[in-house]
Amino acid sequence: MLPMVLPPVVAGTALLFALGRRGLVGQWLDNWFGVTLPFTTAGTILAATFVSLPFFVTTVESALVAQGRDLEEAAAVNAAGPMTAFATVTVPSIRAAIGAGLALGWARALGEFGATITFAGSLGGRTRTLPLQTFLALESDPESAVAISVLLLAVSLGVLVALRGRWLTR
Amino acid sequence: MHQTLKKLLKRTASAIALACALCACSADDGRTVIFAASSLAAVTDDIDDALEAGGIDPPEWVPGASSRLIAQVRDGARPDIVISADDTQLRGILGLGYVVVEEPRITNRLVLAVADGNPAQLTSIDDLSLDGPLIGLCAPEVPCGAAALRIAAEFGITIRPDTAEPNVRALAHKLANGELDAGLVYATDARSLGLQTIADARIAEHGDCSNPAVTQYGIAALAGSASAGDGSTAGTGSTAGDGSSAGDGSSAGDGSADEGHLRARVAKYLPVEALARGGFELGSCR
Amino acid sequence: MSAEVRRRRLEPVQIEVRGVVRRDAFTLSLDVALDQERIAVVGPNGAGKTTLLRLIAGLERLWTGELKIDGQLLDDGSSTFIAAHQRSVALAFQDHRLFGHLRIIDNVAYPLRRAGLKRAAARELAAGHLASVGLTDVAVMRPAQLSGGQRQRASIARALATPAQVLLLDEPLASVDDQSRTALRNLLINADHRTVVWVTHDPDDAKYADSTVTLPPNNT
Repeated sequence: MLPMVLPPVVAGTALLFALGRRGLVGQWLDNWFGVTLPFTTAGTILAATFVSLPFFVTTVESALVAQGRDLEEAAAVNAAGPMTAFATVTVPSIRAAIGAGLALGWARALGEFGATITFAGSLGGRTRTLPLQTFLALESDPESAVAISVLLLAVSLGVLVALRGRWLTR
Repeated sequence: MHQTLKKLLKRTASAIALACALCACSADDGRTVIFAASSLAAVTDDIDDALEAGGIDPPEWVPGASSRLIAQVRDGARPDIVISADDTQLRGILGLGYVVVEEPRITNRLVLAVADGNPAQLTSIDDLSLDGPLIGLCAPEVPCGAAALRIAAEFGITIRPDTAEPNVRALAHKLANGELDAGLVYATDARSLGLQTIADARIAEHGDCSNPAVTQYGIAALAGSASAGDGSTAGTGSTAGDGSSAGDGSSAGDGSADEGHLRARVAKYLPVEALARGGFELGSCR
Repeated sequence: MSAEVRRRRLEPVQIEVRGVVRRDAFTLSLDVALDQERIAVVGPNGAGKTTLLRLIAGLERLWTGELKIDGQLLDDGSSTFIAAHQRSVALAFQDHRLFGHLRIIDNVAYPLRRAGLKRAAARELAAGHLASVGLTDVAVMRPAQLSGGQRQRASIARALATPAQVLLLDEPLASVDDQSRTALRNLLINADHRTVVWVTHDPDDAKYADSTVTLPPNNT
């Protein structure tokens, strides 16, 4: 849950020290497999996942807690083993929460700035997120910065409205 | 001296508060606010120490890419002093109550910096065209990035950077911690972070304006703030308000009267000895 | 239960529970032998009637003691424990516990699917069970659209659809209306070739049992 309250730049720094080319784990990744994550699209995805995963996890977790184990017990006495029960009962019964968690996490990842610039850098087409582009465009091309901002605003509102509708009808 | 400064700062603060509704940039405690190009970060600690040793309150440094700082001033921020790594960009704020201060004149230049030990074994700026090493530049929108592009164009090097950082400090730190193999950063950043550099004669000549690696810094000061702070014109402190009526250039026009004050003020916060220690070249480029 | 084919039995299943259940501050001692085909379990609130069913179903574990069905040790309070889904035991919960994401017919088809039937075959059999509890009309609805009584009937139909030898029913008729009650009661006590154990508060229900097990008050 820590990344949820952690300043994204700190999250990026943590990733850098762990998985950077000279990081605790990253140096072995580099030495053994020739894999480096900073400045790659994979690194950008990692940074976005790191900061947005808690949004997914908390949403799904609260749904699981609210639901309890009743339905899994019902599955068990109907001959479903744990894995089957998970696939046929647990997951489908919280699919609304899974959808909401994915939407929240996606929206958070879409707005990712701090962890990305710190861990993955900024290069158009590879590691630059929309907010990073907005930030740079403000200096050279304010109109496009406004355009991207409006787009992000629309997406955020869309996610909010979609989720609000789901919460209200349930 | 100390008392005078305090008075000056207080009056400056109150004058700014009266003058502009957008004074959010002013430090609440009345300290002088300086928008400083990221590359100045290499010397601000040193300057602060020197000022404190002399019994002077250090200013509030607001670091950032020059282009960003200029954009913020255009959008209403009113720092007392603006230092841009690209003097041409300063023109954008001259109608807003700022006047150019000619002293001190400083230049900087880009150098080829590499990660500790030069793991990618670069030998010249030509190697920036290689695909193997992780190369970082500043984003083209900011002065150090623009200068890097000029170098690439001038010497016919095709650089495909792995990252385009939003300011030179971010780039320099990524070289310092070894995440990048090589990049073009200012000599001052390389010095302050102890970066290993690769000498390349083509960009090594200091002070030559025609060299694409050289950047001429520009300094501007808020005209009203100094005149309001000057005891002799305290009664007309409200003229500082004219600064907000921008655009007509009149506030910059009365600059000749207080240009001396502004220059003295800038000199106070930018002691040339500290700048020189940080690796800045003093004087105009030729 | 698994994929095992329901076999015709002449003898009722022998269920023996002797031991202690502990859960936080709750302790329950049980010494029960169920050896008839139709058994009613009665007793005051808190006597452990539901816990007894959950033990037999495999949803609870003994702290000490033994649980045997037809002589096979299913739970000895330590190393031996046969999990719920591997026992030939079905349980209809008092609170129904239908799967909210499935239609009623697919709730009833659920244990048949687990037993290896294809969807169409499972639905066909499930439709028969739904008809026997009078729920044909609501087969394509979701549990949330049903009344409490309808849900309880659906829950019973789901238990009936399992191939389990033992049917455990926790107050199966508590929330069904009087009209349905008699029909359901007949259905349950005539469930062929299975042992049926039901918990009830209703003395009428108990009358239909081959034997009645009365759990003493639990004062722990």
